[in-house]
Amino acid sequence: MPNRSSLDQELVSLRGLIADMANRVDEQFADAMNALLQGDVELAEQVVAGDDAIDALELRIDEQCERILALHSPVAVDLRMLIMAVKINTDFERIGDHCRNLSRNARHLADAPGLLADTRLPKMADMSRTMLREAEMAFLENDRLKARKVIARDLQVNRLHEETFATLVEMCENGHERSEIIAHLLTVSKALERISDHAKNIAQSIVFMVEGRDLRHRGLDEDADAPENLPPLDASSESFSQEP
Amino acid sequence: MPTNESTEDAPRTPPPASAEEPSANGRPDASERPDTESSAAGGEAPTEPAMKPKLNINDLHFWYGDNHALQGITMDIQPHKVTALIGPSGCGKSTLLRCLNRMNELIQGTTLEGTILVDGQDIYAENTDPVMVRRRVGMVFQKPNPFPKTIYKNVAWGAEINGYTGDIDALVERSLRQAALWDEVKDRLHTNALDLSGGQQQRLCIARTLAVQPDVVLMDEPASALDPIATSKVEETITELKKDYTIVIVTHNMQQASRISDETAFLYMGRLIEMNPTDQLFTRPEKDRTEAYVTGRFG
Repeated sequence: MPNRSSLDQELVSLRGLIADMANRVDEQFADAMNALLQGDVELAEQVVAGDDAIDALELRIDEQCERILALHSPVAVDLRMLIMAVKINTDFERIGDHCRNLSRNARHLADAPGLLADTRLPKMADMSRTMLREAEMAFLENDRLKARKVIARDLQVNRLHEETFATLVEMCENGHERSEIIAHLLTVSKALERISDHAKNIAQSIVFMVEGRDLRHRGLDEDADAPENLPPLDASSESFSQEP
Repeated sequence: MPTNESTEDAPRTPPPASAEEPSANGRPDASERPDTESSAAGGEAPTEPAMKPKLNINDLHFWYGDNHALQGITMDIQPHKVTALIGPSGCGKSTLLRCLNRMNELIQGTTLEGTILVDGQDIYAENTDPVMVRRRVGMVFQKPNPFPKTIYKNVAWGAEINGYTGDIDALVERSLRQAALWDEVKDRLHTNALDLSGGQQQRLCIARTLAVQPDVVLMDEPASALDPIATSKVEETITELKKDYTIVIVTHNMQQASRISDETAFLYMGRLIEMNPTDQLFTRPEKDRTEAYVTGRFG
């Protein structure tokens, strides 16, 4: 029989660490995109340096999960919470890595101000960040519906990535003079697409914890609870896109 | 005494939907999760439906005087499986176990209603001999209780008084081997059983039960008085025994239930709340009350 009060304390502390992780990753993402858009190389370097703290936090969260599994032998919803924690920890850390990778493009993009803003990348960044934030909220509130919306949004980001990819390739084919910069924009697009994938993974893990249902590797049409019509994208408090 | 209402569990539902949720699709669980009431009552859901149950318990009620200890238990117990009965103290799990071989009727002032079939035969029918029932449905108790006699005599005794005419030496060896004790005692069969360690004594009691050649073995907390190593030996023995026997075990140790049993039944206040394959019951219990119990939130 688990010692409930001690297990509860451990779980509260674990959730606190994950919330901290989610916050830091979200800040890194905002900083990375602002560094790119504003050509702010110094801010980009801060993001690269900040990744170490996220890596350290990943290890701490994993240790805490291992401790709880070893000492409390959790079952049912507690066990699913632990399985979720281990998985979303990795997803957050990977998003942190992509933020670092995004920032590494800043120096190159600083030479061509405005080129990034002319693409759909700021829009993609907005959507990915909304997904990340909603995934974070879904985690904090154990909200399976919010989580499902995140999962549905991933398709939109994938579509934008495909569009952006095609546009950038076309620019190259048309003999754009800054083909190197376009190559950097392609890596930005891929990184944003991967961030939204990780946000989707996080949301799937949350649904697994709350309902015990594993939504991975299934189409949305196989999920009876999938939101049919997504409301328009919520305006982020900090929007990367210049569109009205 | 609690009312019936308080023990009835609502079907497990996910947290409430928020306003913008498209509710047309309904609850995610409605189509997939079987209704426990029907799965517990009909016994059709948890295991392979083709298998004929070894024990069939139907609307079993049991009273100690005025105390209504079992309130309408209906469940099937499958052959060659380990079925664990779990639940907080006083939930009726030991009472249920003792009903399965008519041990409870040795207690004054008790009343039983409902039926228990072993291989389709009503063990409480008027023409059924309780001694025969206990021979077919053996029992191992919480504390090892060997007779103050030799190891050999402990195992042979039950068979001898039952008029066993076969080779007693072979029966003793077979029973001790099945109880995973033979290698440890084969050179000292004629020494006092009370000189064995606690874990060995418990396995001797298992061997003694097996020597009478039952079909079903009931175990009431068989490892609760043992240290971890002896516990693990007894657990390994139980896992081995299900090849030849049907096992029903009462345990307070939920990790033990999850380690060794195939099916788990959760009882609460004399009622069966949920019976399901053990891996399901400990990962995705159907009922909120089961989840609260296995995660230690109550009980």
